[in-house]
Amino acid sequence: MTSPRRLLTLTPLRGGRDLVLLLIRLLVAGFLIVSAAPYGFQAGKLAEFASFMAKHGFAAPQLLAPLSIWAMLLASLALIAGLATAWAGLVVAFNFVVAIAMVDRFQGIDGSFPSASLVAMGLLLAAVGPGRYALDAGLARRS
Amino acid sequence: MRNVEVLTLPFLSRGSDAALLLMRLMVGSFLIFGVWDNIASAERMTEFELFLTKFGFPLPKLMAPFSVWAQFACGLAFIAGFATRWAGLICAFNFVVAIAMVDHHQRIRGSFPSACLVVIGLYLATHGPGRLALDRLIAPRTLGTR
Repeated sequence: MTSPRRLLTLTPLRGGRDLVLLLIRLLVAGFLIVSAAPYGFQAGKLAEFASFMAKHGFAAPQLLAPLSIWAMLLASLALIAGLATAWAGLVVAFNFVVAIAMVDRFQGIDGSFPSASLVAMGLLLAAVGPGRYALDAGLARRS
Repeated sequence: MRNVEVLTLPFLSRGSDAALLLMRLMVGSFLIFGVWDNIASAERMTEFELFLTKFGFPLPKLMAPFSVWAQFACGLAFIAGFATRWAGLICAFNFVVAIAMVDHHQRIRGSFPSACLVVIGLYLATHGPGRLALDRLIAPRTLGTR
């Protein structure tokens, strides 16, 4: 019979952790690709993003706009593959801390929540790793 | 440091409990913030019932307070790290329903906050709250690390 302690803490659910980590990686990467890809691949969109950054007081927007977009796209690919996941998590977290500090905070708590979630999930992936279904896990097993 | 360690940064695992705590506090306080007006004001609860009716939920008079109080309880549980796995399951279920019934009309960008709450809820359900939580006092050996 299940003990009350086991019932409260539902420890048997631990088996699903790696699958959920994969889900988190795919959600974050999918969202970043959908958000960043138009700016990376459509003519004129990058200039639009640079002027958005200039309006919000970013330094060197002509440099930071492509840097931010390509960092997000590369981080997305890394998260999907589960390769260098900790680096990708740190890059995502840093990018969206900056987004909150410079832009989202003017939109209140609801407006900042997506970025705050990306910060939290980025830091989580940096700290706990990508789980079993990832290239990082294969590399760690081999070494 | 070996090449693979430069790639995977395993020393960051020392921060996993802090990352989990940060996530719990952020999501827990957001969940409470999201329903506090419905709890504090009967008018806002009635507005929420009308919102549920508009989107085709059954029994909105029952579902509105049920959903609001469930979300509030999840927020408290995440912050305290108490019954965290149950709270994670309830949070995930609540926001799967929100996506299916409401948010999908707003496409990917509109559904993203709810999708975050689903996956974070599922993560807390499967991993547990980490070491900095009341659950740890009840079941000290449920901590998972990479």
